[in-house]
Amino acid sequence: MKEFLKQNWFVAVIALFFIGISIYYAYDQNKDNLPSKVVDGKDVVFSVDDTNVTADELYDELYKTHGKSELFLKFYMGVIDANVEETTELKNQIDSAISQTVSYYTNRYGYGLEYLNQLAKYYYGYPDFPSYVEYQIKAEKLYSIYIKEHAQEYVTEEFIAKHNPRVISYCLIKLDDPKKPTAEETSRLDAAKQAWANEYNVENFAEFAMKYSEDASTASGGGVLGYVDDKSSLVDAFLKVALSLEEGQVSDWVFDENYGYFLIKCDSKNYEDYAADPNFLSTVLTDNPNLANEIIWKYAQSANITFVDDSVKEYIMQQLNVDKDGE
Amino acid sequence: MKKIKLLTITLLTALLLVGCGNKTAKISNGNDILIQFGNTKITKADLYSSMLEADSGYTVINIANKIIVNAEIETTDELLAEAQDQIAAYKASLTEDWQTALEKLGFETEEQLLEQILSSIKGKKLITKYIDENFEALTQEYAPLIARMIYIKYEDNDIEKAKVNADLAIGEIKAGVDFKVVADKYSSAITLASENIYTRYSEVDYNVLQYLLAVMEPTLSSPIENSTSSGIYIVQVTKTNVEQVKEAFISSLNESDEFINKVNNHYFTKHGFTIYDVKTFEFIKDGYPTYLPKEK
Repeated sequence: MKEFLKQNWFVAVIALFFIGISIYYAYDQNKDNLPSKVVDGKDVVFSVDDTNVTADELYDELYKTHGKSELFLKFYMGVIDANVEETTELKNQIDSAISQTVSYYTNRYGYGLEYLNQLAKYYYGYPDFPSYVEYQIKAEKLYSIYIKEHAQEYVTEEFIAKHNPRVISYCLIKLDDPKKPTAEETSRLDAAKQAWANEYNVENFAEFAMKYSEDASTASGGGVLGYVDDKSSLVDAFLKVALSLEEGQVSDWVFDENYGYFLIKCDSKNYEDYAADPNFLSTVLTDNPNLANEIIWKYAQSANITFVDDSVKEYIMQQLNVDKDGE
Repeated sequence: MKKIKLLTITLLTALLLVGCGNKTAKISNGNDILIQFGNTKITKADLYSSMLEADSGYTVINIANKIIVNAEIETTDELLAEAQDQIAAYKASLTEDWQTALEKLGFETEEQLLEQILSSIKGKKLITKYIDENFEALTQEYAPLIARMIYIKYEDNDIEKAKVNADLAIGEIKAGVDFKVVADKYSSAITLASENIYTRYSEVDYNVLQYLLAVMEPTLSSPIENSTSSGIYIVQVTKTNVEQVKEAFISSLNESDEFINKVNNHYFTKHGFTIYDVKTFEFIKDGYPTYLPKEK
């Protein structure tokens, strides 16, 4: 051994150095670790004096205050996960909604994600804000899938008479101060009016809107606004004319003192053309206040839901305000 | 060659040790399914994890606190009656049925509510017990006294005028004019004119605090320029005797979050509050750090 050390003293010093470092590293990594404890085969979470509180006991205690509400949330999220496919488009929509809200709160109030996480946790029971947004958007998607499939059930004569639903397109000639148009603005308006009178008609309204409309959000799409009904948040002059048109009809030029001149077309009154529109979904959900809950329950039932505990089932049905289980 | 093998094994063992510790406490039947639909299974372990997250350590502190207060404070007939009175008062104020009200509070039975109220009462008694047992040390540490003050601000940077007013105010107080009447005439902060308890930890101007810490007997100060040189304080210490300040001192301690935290830490340390679950430890560290014993 002595001979070996003499011949390899440098290697021995290096080895000792590394052993020392390794032992210190192991000590350093473990010195702040918690002790672990098992009593009668059960994991202990904490102890006070000689009293050990096991994970099983803590589970029972937590269940009293959080059990059913957490199970409801898990059930709700589970139904949505099982029925809404997470496409790239949907994921982008969720990510965009999260980042927009976070930056809005950060810029406006000076606190962002951390604050929103607290709100989502304490007011809605979600683990964090991104989860809250994710399930809000996915839930809307689920309602949309269901309502699209069952649109004719909701677009009744009564619904049509009450809301006057339709799909609308429009062309806007913007004026900075519509009451006092400049010569240049008057010239643009006249050119559009002349083109509409002489070169375009209802059949190629989309092309007209693409060429003349000054509305940045709709012009490139041929002026399509989408679903409109009596609940739509649109300027009065616009909404009044939009709701008076027959399918395929184009209005006269409509003046609005805030925007300028609109030319409005009713594209369709057929529910199949607006069944997937979020604004139609919103009107249907407003008219049927418990429909969202009923949709969740129907999707759960269609997947043969089973509950171990009847009281949990009762609680979930109570939360959803559904009184039939369909069994 | 053998030695190199030995060395390698030693090093690997040391590195393996790094992975030990920080365990997560698991429930016994975590894989039991509570709800199932399609391929989705919600197990007891899933629910336990969500409940821990939602609770964020509150229930752990609540259970530990109950064990500690029960060990420290005996349940007397008097305490029981106090708790029952609280329940009776609550019942009398209700417009809904008792069972619904209990469930809304998160209790299944009246006994559970009684136990919670008793713990709360005992928690307050525990603070009183700590104060009683440590009163002398607390008095020395906090140096409590009762004083009232007049603050004369340097209006328009007119220091001379403020000094003249301060001398006039002191003269009037010495002549027997009521302190509040003098304060009304000269002070820019009239609320300071009422007698109040002050301790080493009171949030007052540094120069005023130094004066208060040096005073042993009731007295009236000379003008004290504040630490930001923006005004003058006149301080009248009215009570320094421990017995005279005791009630106000105890009341101020009971209202001090820092003191309550200190007492909680004392009893949680004394009763060996030990956490064996890393997730719970993180929740307590984030939400209730003052309950963690000084020595883990």
